[in-house]
Amino acid sequence: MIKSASQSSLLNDKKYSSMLAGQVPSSEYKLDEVILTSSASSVTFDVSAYAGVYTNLQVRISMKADPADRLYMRINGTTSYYNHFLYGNGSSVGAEGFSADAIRVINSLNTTTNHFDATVIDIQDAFLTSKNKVVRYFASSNGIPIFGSGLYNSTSAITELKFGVGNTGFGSNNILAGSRFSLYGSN
Amino acid sequence: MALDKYVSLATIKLTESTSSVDFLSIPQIYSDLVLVINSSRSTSSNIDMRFNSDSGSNYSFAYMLGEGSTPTSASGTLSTMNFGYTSTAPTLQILEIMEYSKTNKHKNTFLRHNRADLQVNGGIFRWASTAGVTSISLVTSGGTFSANSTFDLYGVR
Repeated sequence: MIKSASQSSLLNDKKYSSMLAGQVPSSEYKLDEVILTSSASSVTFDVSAYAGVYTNLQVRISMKADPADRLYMRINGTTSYYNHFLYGNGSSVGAEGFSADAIRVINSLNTTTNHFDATVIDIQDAFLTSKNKVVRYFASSNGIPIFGSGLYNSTSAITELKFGVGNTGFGSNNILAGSRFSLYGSN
Repeated sequence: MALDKYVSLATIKLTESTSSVDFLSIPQIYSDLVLVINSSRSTSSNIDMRFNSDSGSNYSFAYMLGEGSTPTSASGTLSTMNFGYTSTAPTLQILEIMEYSKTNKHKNTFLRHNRADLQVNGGIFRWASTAGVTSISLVTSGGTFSANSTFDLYGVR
């Protein structure tokens, strides 16, 4: 019986197309990555070259900021979005909804040493010009799990994703060294 | 040329029941890990997950749980990362272990848990250690994992 896997099998690279249970197998690729070696006021991905090549985008983020407020994402530089999220704060489950000048993808950043907050953001049909764009994310936000969604109420193909830290909206707080932003595409 | 996002590192399908499953000597060359557990248990029990055999109270958790009525949430710190079951029904867990190899970061893990009869859970864990995750152990708090349970580990580039 096999009940443990050790080094020999763990180094056997095999391609796997999709992690989502029940989803039709697809191809997913790593497209770009920013790992900050010094503080920055924002992180930007130019995704215009991926239109017609990929259907969906994912961004995986692990980050800290100073001041530690909230992480926001803007699409194509626009400033009007709807936000909704569901959270479990350790004693109850709650939800919030609001409009903002960006999509809030981490609701609260922590200040604990070595504790980076994380979020995984999925954007379906990112380049389709017949649909408004829905963003979903799963965030580890200062010790609180959050399922969230944001609406970019436009049929424009996405050409740019920009991340910045602020309180009530997109800001320019320092995103600290060691923060990581990875971009993936899928078909 | 863009790299494939996922690399399958290990696939375990139980041919008979067992109370523990281990992934050992995990290479430290990927950005994240994804662990998919599709299992059932012989008795109502939990899965306890540990990194690097660390049995200290170094694992914080928080979750939001729906079981058909008012959702609940809890948080705390334990000596293991614990996924609730309280049933022998089949369950699916997808765990995303972020930046598992970074030696300057605590390790965040996302949990999506679905139980076939009546349960959905979104949770997070933090292992308060800067050590790279080189092994993952999974044990049941009672009974055994049933035969045909599967455990799949992937690296995310």
